Amino acid sequence: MAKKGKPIKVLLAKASLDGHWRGPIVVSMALRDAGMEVVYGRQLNPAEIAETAIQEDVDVIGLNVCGRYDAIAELIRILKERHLADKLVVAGGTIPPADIKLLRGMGVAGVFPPGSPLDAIVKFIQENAGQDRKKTRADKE
Amino acid sequence: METTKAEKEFKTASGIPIKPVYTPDDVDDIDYDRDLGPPGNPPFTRGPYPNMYRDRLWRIRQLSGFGSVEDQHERTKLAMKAGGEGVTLLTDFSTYCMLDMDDPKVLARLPDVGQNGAPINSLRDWETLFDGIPVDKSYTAVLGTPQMSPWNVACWLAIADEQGASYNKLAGTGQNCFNTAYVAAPHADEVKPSSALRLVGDIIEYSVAHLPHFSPVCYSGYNIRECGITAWEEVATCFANAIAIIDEVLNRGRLSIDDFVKGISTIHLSADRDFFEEIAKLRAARRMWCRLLQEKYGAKAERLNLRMHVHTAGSALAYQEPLNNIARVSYQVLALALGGAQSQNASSYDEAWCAPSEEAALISIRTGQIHQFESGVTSVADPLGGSYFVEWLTNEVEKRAWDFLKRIDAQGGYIAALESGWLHREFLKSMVDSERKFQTGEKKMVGVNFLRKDDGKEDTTSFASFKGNPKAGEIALASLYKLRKERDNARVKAALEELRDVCRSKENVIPALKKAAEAYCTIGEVGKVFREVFPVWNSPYLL
Repeated sequence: MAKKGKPIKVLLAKASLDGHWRGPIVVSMALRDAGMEVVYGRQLNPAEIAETAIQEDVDVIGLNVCGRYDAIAELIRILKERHLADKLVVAGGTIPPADIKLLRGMGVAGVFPPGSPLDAIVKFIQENAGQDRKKTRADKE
Repeated sequence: METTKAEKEFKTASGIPIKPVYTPDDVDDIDYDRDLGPPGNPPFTRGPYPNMYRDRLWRIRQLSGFGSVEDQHERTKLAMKAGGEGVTLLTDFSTYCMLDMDDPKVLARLPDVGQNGAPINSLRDWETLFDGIPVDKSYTAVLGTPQMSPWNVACWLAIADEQGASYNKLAGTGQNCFNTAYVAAPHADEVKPSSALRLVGDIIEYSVAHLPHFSPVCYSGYNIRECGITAWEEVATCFANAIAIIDEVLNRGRLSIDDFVKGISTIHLSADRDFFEEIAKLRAARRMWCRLLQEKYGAKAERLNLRMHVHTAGSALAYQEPLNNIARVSYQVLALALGGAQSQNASSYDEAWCAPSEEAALISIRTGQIHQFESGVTSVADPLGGSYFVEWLTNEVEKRAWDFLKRIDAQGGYIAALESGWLHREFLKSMVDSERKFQTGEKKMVGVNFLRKDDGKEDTTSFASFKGNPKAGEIALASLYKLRKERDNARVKAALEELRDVCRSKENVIPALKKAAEAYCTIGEVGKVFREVFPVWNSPYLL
């Protein structure tokens, strides 16, 4: 669970030059309906996604993917480098079944292919966002 | 009293309430000559041609676009060998945005290039694409945005010159739909819609003078429909787009509506999940087009036979149990045939997983051919004409489309409705509504949100999901550098300067673009000129 009293904040981003917006908008509506705060980044490269995540102080980064995963690998590398591994990374889009394990192995916590119930996405984020952050704090205390 | 099953409200997929049965009372206001007429006669409800598929089967076009331009050439040849007609090409996003491979935006995403379309960056790539394919014997449709489409036409003409083909024999459709470029899949920094109208107007005027078998524009409702809007919003928005384009050409004062109406009477629509609603939509669209152009512009009725390219709905395909998609696509192809379409693009069963594999693309082509040569549906024109239900539903879809067109008019017309973000906001409502229906199970998808295999086992369907060539970006970048070294750069500079001057003037852009193509200017260089001369636009963020 995220910090008490403060809504979970999600950055929904699309790394490619693609402009289709049905997927991101439908997901953003569901997250907002569940009380989360959503910011959207269009056409951001991985470094810009990480920077936006810091500036906006988000708990979750949701990526709309289609095709290759180079941008995700790069983002996760940057997040580690900048000590932002506490950000929950989730991905959705046309991801063939065989690639789901691959993405999880890369550090994408939740993978949501077409047909995923919106409730499942919301529940996953509610249960997992801010987990590591809390743990890190507890370790420090 | 309990509601019986028969009394429960049934609706079409777009939300039209429907009764359990239809009778002559539901269609008693139909006047055969006024509202239907024989196929090939105004108002063309029953089809654009008298003998329909007896004279000419619908074209089988198979959209493809992935990998490098060489990969794309191979796939095109494969589709043609299987009986697919012509070159229907989806270009890479970088090409769509009119950016070169070494633009920082593209360089940062080089591995993405070729995953969702092929990068086509200069005339040299067009030469590769048409290698061994006679341009005057194939049907060409290269998907593009309004800003990109005059460049596509210029490159295509340059290929015709190289092959020694006569412009009189070139057949194809221009792809410059505003709905796709500015609403369904908008890119950053596009030429503003109001300025893009000028470019599209230039293509129309050039085509009227030189390209008798080319349809210079094709309004596309398909891509906005894929966002979840209704059947009548799809049709009405296309026609609103058409009105803006027609007004642009008429305002120039050089052509009359009858001079160019033939070339602008093509539309790209979806065959979505509701079988009868889609058939009714295609019939209603033809009638509405005829009425609209007669009433609004006084066009000659006999030239108003709207021709259709119909693409089965990708959004109707499931990720779960994907082979079921073959059944979905097959009935959607049947709908486009019964609706009287001139051309099909059947989606492939693996599209919720990846870009179509060769095997999946071949099944799509075969699906059309099975309907054409085995089912017998091609023997009689408009076989559903006169069905109480289909005629009633055709009226209903048309009525709703007129209402939506009036609402766009009330916004100040299509361009105003687009640039103000009104269309985006309207469609957002439909998108959310359609998703809500899916999430609540009101809209069922077998194996997805209904009758889902919940045995805890993973889906055992296995096929290799197709991936575009991972090196496509690097290949395109290398070929760009090579091109810049080999070409006559003084000629390039002069061509771009001339293009800039022409864009600033009122001269037609096509000849200057063709010179730029022949000088091997790149799409990024041409795009840069456009972005300098014309105002750029970004679609509204609604998230």
